Amino acid sequence: MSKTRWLDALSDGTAGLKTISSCMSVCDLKNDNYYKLIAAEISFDLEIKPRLRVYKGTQVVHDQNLPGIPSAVESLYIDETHPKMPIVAVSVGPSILFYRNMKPYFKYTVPSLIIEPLEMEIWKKLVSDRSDNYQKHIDDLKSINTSELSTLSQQLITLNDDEREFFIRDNMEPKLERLPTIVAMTKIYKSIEEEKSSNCLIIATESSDILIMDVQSFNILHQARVCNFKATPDLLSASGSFQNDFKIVIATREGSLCILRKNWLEGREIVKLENPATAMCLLQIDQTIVVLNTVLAMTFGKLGLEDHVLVLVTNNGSLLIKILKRTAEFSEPLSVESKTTEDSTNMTVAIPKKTKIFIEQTIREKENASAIHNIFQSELWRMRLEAAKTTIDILRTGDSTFSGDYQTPLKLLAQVDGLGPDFLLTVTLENISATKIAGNLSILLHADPEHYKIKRRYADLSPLMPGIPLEMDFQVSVALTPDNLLPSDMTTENSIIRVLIIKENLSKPLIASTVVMPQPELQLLIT
Amino acid sequence: MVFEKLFMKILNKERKPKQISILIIGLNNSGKSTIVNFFKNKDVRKSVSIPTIGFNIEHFENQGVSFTAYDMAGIGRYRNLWEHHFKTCNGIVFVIDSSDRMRLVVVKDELDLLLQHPDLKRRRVPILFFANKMDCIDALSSVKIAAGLNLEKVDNKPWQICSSNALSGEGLQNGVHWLTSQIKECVLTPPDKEVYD
Ligand SMILES: Nc1nc2c(ncn2[C@@H]2O[C@H](COP(=O)(O)OP(=O)(O)O)[C@@H](O)[C@H]2O)c(=O)[nH]1
Ligand SMILES: [Mg+2]
Repeated sequence: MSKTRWLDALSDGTAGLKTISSCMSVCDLKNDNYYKLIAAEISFDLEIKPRLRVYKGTQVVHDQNLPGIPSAVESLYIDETHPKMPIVAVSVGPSILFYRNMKPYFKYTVPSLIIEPLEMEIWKKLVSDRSDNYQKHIDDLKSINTSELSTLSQQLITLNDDEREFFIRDNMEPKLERLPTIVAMTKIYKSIEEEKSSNCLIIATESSDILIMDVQSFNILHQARVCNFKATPDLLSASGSFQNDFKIVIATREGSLCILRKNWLEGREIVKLENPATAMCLLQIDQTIVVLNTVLAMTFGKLGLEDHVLVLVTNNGSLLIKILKRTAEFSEPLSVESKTTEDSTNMTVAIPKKTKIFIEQTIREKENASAIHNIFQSELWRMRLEAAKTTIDILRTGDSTFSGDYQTPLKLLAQVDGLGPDFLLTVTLENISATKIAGNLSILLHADPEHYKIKRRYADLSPLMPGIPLEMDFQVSVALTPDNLLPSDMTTENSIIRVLIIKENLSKPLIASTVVMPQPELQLLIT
Repeated sequence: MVFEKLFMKILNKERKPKQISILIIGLNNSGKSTIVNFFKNKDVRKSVSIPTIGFNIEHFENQGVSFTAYDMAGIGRYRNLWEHHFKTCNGIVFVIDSSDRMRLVVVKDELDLLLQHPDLKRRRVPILFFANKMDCIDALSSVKIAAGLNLEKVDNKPWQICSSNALSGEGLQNGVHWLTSQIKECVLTPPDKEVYD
């Protein structure tokens, strides 16, 4: 196995591209199977207008102005008609510009937030009053939290005395709007979960709303809050389809990770990080890539005619394209395979005598070759389909029942037995590595002590041999009140126990999985 | 067609006609099928094209010369499909899309794997590189491609690089002319020790 798994396709130090991850997207823009990179160039010099560029490999093949500083670029399919041409969505301020064939064709603006009645009151007075009284009204405006003021009022309070009069006269019929800035965008499938199937656009706003838009009609299909407390979205990542099931992970500026699922009106916090996340990516590769400059932005996906390409942009404007080697292996080769081919050519193979059964079978095979082949092919496809379905099921249902650590691949299964209030939680842990023993592991069960009593919540585990599952039983009881009632704040949603698998000297758990506990059957307890 | 005539000349000089096999390889979309089509005669004896699960094989035989074209697909287990020909092939045509600058590193990686392959490493097999799609505006010159692939380091095999346009046929004859003369030399001179028979 060679040391590096990446080929350096390009290190173009002269690209002069300044961008962020959310402003890059790869797609088959021309439907010629040659995937292109779309990136918004954001200059830190305010004099220079931001630009929207399309790169074929490393060459700019399209370049146009953007009306303002973009926050996200996403490519989407709007319907199932052929040829499959994606559209490009670019969010600028409170609006999204939609491009077809790189020509703008629609502008969507998010709806205004509620305007304070007090602010409306003040404006009514402003437009009717004499200019000597302006100061008083403006002071009143300033008493409202700036972020809750309309754009118009925000502008007004920054003006000096002589400018105010003109400004108010220009706005005698004030249009008070509070348009939240769009901070991030991503996409999910509409119903069919296949590459190039139609998408829904997911929009996160500064006001902590998540909007799911049908990009064909530009209707908002669903709206939800990021979380039940103040959390400003920063990064988005999503999977699934709007019709079946989907999952949106939102990293917030305050440092929490929230998850939002289908039909939820509010996201839930799943992790609280000490520092806000700077990038979110679904890549799990054990390799460190050394880049000489700070990486500003990255994206991974199809590019050109290659399936696995990592695109990096560094702070000096270089564009780095790294192609995953076609021969890259992500598991250790077995040591028994070290025989060279020269050896094998000298080996004689013991060929058994041809039996009658063998000859008959050969004749059958000769006669029915095409039928046998067809059956084999269709079975093969069926098996592949099954494998794909199972994979998707696992990806959908398991929060993280697989260890993401390449060194210690683990699989966790949990089962809850009993009617309650006493339950038996059986955790099965399996080492899915082909060769390596997984040692120095411990298990920790975590639950709200007001809700559950866990007899043994921590255990050191014996080393796990590959392929031999380890089964552990834990006694869990609901912490009933003295009069045998459920804890008052216990709901179906917070009836959960977290199972963490921890490795010595690793600060991050290998697996953090949530077990949803059934509601205890209290009637049985009373009778 | 020049290709066949040349081969006929070689074959006629030999008493027992020997099967000559030529392997045409390159990344997908480089122009192999187009090149193969250009050389196919109307009365091609056998012509199979199997575009199946993720890879393409094209095979045809003409006047005792068998041509097999493979897409160098990435997936590991298909690799031995073309590597399997390394032991016996008499010549290799390596097709490169000169307009796909981004994938030149992938071409280089594949070429290095090919040159290091145990079945080919010590064999003196002529390699013809087609710097195809020379008509594209952003095409790299054959000199640049040769430099990019480090071809001057290849010293135990005769090689040649020709710019080509498989759509018009430009450059194809020249390249094949070179290849046939090389094969002729290899076939007519007694095989060196390393050649498997
Ligand atoms: N402009 C141009 N296009 C070519 C040339 N050779 C092949 N093509 C085109 O490139 C594409 C891929 O060619 P194909 O022969 O199928 O490539 P293969 O995957 O290597 O078999 C097709 O659309 C061809 O028409 C060439 O020399 N110039
Ligand atoms: Mg082909």
